[in-house]
Amino acid sequence: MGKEESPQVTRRTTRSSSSTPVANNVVETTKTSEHEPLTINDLVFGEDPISLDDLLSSFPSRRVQILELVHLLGPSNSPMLPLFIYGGASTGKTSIILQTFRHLNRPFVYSSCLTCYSPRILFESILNQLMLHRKNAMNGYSSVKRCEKPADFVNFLREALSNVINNLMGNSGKLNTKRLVSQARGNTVYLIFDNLELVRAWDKSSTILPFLFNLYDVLKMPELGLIFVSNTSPDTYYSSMGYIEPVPVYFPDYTEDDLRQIFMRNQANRKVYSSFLDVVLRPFCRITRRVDELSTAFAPLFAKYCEPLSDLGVVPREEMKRRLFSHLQPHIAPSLNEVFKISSKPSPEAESNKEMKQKGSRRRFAGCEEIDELDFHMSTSAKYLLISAFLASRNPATLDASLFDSMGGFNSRKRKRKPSQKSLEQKETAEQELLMKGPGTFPLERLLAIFQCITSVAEGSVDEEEQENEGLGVQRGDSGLMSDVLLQLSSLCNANFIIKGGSCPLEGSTRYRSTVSEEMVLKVARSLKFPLSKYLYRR
Amino acid sequence: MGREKAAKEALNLLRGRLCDPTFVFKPLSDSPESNYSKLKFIISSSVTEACNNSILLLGPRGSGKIAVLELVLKDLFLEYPDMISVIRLSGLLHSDDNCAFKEIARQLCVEHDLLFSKMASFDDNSQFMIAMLRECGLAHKTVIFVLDEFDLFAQGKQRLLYSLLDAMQSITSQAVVIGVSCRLDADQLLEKRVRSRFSHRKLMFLPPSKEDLQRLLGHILSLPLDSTLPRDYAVEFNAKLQNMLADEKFKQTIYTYMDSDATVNHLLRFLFRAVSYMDLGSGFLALENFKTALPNIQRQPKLECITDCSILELYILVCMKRLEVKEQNSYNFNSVMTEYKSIHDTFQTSDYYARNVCLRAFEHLQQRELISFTDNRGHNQSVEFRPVKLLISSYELQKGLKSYRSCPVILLKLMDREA
Repeated sequence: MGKEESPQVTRRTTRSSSSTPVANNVVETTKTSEHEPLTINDLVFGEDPISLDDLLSSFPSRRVQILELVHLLGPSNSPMLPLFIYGGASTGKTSIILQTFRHLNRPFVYSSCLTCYSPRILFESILNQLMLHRKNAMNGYSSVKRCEKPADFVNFLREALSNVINNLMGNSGKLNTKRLVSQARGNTVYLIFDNLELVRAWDKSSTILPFLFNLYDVLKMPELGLIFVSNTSPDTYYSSMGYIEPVPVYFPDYTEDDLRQIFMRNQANRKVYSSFLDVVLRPFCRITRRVDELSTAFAPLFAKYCEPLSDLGVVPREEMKRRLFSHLQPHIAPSLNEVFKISSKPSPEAESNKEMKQKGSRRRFAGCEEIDELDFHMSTSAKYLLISAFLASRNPATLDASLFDSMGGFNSRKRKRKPSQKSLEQKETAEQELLMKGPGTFPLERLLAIFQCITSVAEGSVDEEEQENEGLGVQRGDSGLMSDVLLQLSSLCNANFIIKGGSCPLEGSTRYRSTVSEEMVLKVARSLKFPLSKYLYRR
Repeated sequence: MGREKAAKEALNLLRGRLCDPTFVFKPLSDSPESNYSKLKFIISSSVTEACNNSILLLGPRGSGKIAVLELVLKDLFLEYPDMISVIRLSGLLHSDDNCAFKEIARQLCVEHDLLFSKMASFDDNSQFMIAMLRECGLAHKTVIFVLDEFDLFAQGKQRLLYSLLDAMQSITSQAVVIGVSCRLDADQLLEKRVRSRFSHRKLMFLPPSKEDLQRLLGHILSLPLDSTLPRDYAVEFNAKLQNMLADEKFKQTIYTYMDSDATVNHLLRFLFRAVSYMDLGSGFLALENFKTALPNIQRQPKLECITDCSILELYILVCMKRLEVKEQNSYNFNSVMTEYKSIHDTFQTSDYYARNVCLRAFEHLQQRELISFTDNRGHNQSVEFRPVKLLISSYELQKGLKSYRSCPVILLKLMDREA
């Protein structure tokens, strides 16, 4: 938030910095600037202030909201009732309120309930900023005051605010000619609480939320302004304890025209991009109108769209547009069905491998990856454990004996009977139940038993295959698969592939549940060459 | 002074008034029947007659209980200097007894220039308080305890209330306990032993009548004639204001607004919004300001949420509504997906998207609080299997769909069929 002026002279040189003079200059300056104490002018935004027109033009479709904010914040030194800014995600609330303060050049204290995830951290962060305290090595990275309870917070806040306001009044008296730009204007300090909806999930939310909303009445200081920013509307905060409602400011989601204006900003090749947007904006807006999701989806599509064009600066004419459209068309539908994925850049080795493999298989657009393989790595024992967990969740426990015989192989006795009407109905209700209830739970012993059965089969087949030497470089030892099973289990739980459920009321042991989808388990089984379908109980 | 500068100063003045409750409640306190006079009489009599007293101020939130109390205390400080000291506690902050006694000790120390030790224990603090009460009694000084959010003090063991009221029973102490609460049955929450020591005086703060409201509006919004503002501007402003206040449409707007909540603070919120939009060019308040402020203050969040939804999210909502109508007691994402598929099969819509895209839209709906999971903290299941429910009514959904720009006709048809 507050930026320090870069000091002209380094005050201390350490041995390391004097020995490596070149690259450490930047580190030098930040090190010494850390020792400079913060002043009251660090409570403003810090960069060059902008005019109202700049503010309005940098947020294309938010004119109404920005003007509303400016009116409600009022002229300098004017007291204010608390504001409640709400709107969907990625609608620009935080950036607009911060840039508005940059325009107004008034001192503010910003704290987000996302980074300050408990009341104590929230209170201490606000007090640190107000008391111009910086955590550094000298004070052991501690806050200026230890503050856990709202009562202490109110006392410290009152003290800190009166100090700050006295400072501001003294500041406005003298003009600092050197740094006129970033000097704080006015006598009012504003507290901004961002991501307020997360407070509802805190343990102490029943006391903290009413406390925050009543803070203005408790403090009774006209030089304080409170601003709350939230993703959800004010009616989601009602609780048994009441409060005077803050003044609401609503940020609606962007409409299609707004989105077009936003995406056209900062575009180098405006005409081409405009014709691109004509094609993709409407279908994608039917799914989502969030800027972050749309921009992730549009980026690879635009790259694809521009492929046939040699010169991006050219203004496309009608037949050119049609050609580009037909080039892009087959890729729009798969892209619509993709949740946005930011594809990582694969290493050159893996890319060459992939190219060799893909020569035979179908080629598809990079955005929607046709995965026959898993795109992350799991150890072999973890894969077997995952498969056993899936089988344990899917198959009823009574079938274990018949599906896994003592030798570890599958029981090939298949009963073929003509399906009667009743069994068909039963099948349907069973499917319905599967949809509703989800995968079943299993105790740990059952999981380990299945795991042991499966791996003994696998080790048998591994010995046969070792002669063939696939050359994939994976080690297969004799007893390597049984080790550290419990460790693997806990890592699978942490990755949310297996959920640890409640304990069975009769036995008292914990039960687990597998949450992976069938397609993923199929991929895992394919990578191990494991015949999954033979073990799966089809109702 | 230029017109714009005068307008700005007038705006600052009005905003300052609206944020200051003590200014607002002054005209309501003028009559001898008002709560202000009664409260003043009670406290001043206990000060002059050196006796103990307790009283409860009750009324809906925002009716000005603390504001009137502050006015009374301000006047009493002028009338009886050095004979009163005030200790302020709040149920939000100090409902824990340890906290409360520490705060009492701290405020007493600040008042009497004593050193306050943060390490003092609970017993130390309570002994200190009793001793101070005795000393103040001997010195004929009344200690006034203001307990805001009184009903929160009545939770738990009520140790603080008991010790306060008990300390007041002795002859040497001179204390007045004033409880302020929004719960009209706050005295029923007291334990038997506490209630017996409590004198059952209650002052009710009722919302203002229509005449009082008019008077209040005139008092708040009229500019003073003898301030730094140019006199002719202030006179013209006040004249225009009186015209507007007498206008029927204006009265209608105000009464419509006060229908939902008749307390004064609610009105102040509305006035703040209207005054902030005062046109600085002309420098006068217009009826337009009030008319545009009304829909901005009274919002309909669920309808706004629906206008924010994308078309896929609307489909999911309508599917859930249909499942509810089919009287499925509990349904989850998978059943919503089967319904979605059946709608697509029946009507051949163009909006059929893959499962993961629908799951993402489902999560957006959950973030907007239009749907929620019915099992609280049941993270035993993955998202697709947890039972969900709709958080909007079918009327709201229908109204939202009708006001949605370019809503697919199929959705409207489906919703109409349900109705």
